[in-house]
Amino acid sequence: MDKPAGGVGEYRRRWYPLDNTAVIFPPIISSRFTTVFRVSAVLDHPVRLAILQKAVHQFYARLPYFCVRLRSGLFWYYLEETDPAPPLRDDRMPCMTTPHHNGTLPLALVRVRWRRITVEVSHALTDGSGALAALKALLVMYFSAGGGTTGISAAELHESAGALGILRAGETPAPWEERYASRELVAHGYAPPRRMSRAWHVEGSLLPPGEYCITSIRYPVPAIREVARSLGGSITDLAIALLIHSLHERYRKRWRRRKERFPVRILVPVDMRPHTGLQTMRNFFVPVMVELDQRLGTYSMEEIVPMVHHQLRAALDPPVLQRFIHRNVAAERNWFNRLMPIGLKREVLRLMHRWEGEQANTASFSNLGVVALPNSIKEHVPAMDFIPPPSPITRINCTALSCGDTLSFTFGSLLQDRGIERSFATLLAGYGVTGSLVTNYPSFMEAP
Amino acid sequence: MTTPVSYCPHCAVVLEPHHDRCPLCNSIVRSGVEAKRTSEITMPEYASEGRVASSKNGRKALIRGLTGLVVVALVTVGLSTTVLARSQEYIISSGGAIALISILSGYLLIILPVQARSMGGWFVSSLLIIQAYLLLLDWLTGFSMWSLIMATPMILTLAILVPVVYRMLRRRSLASRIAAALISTGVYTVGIDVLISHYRGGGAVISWSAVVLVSLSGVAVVIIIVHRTVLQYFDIQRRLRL
Repeated sequence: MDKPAGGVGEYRRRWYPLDNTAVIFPPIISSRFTTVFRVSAVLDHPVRLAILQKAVHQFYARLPYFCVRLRSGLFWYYLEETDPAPPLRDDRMPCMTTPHHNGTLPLALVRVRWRRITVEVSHALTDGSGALAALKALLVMYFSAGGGTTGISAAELHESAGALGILRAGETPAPWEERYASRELVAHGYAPPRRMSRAWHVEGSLLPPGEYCITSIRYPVPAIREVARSLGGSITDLAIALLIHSLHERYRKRWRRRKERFPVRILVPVDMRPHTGLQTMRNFFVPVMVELDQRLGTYSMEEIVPMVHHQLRAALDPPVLQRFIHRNVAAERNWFNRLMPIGLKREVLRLMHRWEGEQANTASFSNLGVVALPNSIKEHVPAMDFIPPPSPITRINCTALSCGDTLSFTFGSLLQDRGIERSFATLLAGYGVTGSLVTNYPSFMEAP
Repeated sequence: MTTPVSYCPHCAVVLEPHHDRCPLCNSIVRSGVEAKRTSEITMPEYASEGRVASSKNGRKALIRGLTGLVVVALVTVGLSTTVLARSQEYIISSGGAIALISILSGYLLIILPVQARSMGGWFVSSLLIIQAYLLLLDWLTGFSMWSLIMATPMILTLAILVPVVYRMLRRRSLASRIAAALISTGVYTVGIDVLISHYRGGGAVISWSAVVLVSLSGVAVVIIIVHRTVLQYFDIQRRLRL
């Protein structure tokens, strides 16, 4: 796509349509379903605010498609460029700032506190990989402007960032950055994806509105890799298996009636960029499900890891992934859906999301993989975290992100008790791997 | 970095020497006193408090204190005049006393630390203050029980009506909220009119309030039309950073 989509709106500000995956997010936005997630970097020194302000200025100039607000049209929601925001203070409750329709703040915000620089993004704008690319660009801009302690050459950093494909200040946005990749990839003749039954959801009281419990557990990568290999899977397989086992333990805590015996099912978003070779800064992922039928008895980790491994590999078959893309694009191109006014469309999508969307999965697990940073920056970034968006239906979600030799598992939970997180950490401790824990609820280890 | 730097004690970010306030949380930074080496600046990774409390502003506190003194002096003078006038069987000062007590009540409602309270608590306490204020007015004007017979049902109606309207409109646009507030005021005025005419023995008759209701409804419709057409085009919200 040579010519970027979108056009010029009022005040000659550019506007962009939402991508196919993002269409579902604006109608479901609420105080608990904020659709906001975060990618953050922990530095080895307190952030220098004046330099970060310069970097944020460059950030919005370099990524103008991230400096947008959500607006509602007659038939669809759309994104319109807005004024850039300065860096904001990082509050105790991450991801709980609701992106309002017709609000003035951009959907991508930079937050800062002590040693942590955070890019907070709504899913209506981009996915985890897009947000991570934005954070890497911001870090390069910050260190190039003199944010590091000593001895970082801006020219050298510029060059090494370019070699790693990181967006740099002063460049003109390339057409691929604004690409609507799903539309280019759609091919007809695929059957819609299999309809999922209802999954089991964790019971328990929710935290009060506006509160969100974040628990990041940081482990050394070699130790986790060793455990994963000993069980016959990758790190992602191990993490999903640990999550399934923790949920399965919770399920088995009490006897279930027959109609309560739902499977535990984990939604794993698969980044389509490496699978298709198409690069974009917008949403470009496909959900894949990994499940465990809990009616069949009790499973151990040694049984769950191979099961997860094979289910994931089977789901990564390109035609299977293509079915999801085709479904999303076809729904957007349908004339009946197009002509439905936005008020009605909002209610229909909200109901669909409630009945069909997250009812099908117990939790989600998203792994952004290993972050590649220039060597001169890498030594100043000891850890990075990826905080999942809150969901009152699944109630708990998990993510993984590794930076250098540190792998960070982050749980985002709206539940009042920390049983799943504790079970996850205890299971890994059973394999001899211990990590450091960071949470916004200091009473984490207290009994619920 | 080995030289001491100026930093914000709440956000723990390094500030420039010329900053006297933290741009993130607006708290005052005293340069020199809180300067530390960057390696000495430590705090938990997540904030323990939700938001930093607004720092004390000396000028605001002075203005608030002086205004408070003036209001208290005015009300004291007004009340003593009223008591004196009542003892000498003058009734002319009742109007002045009402005005002064209104000033005091308004001032109290404004300076109360409402941000620190929950919305429900603030609402209930406001209703109680209004009821107490009306009782006081009733007493000052001869205690003919109008505050209990007329005002109490009206306040109870308000106590139900306002939260319902608020719940219905909290996600709507500013224009819709203003329009709804105007129409509600019109309807409420009609209710007051009916009550007054009933209290005077004239039956439940709508008189002057109909004009108010029609006018306010017209204004509400105009506001919605203007918002949907002219203001949407000019995008006043973005201009004013609302």
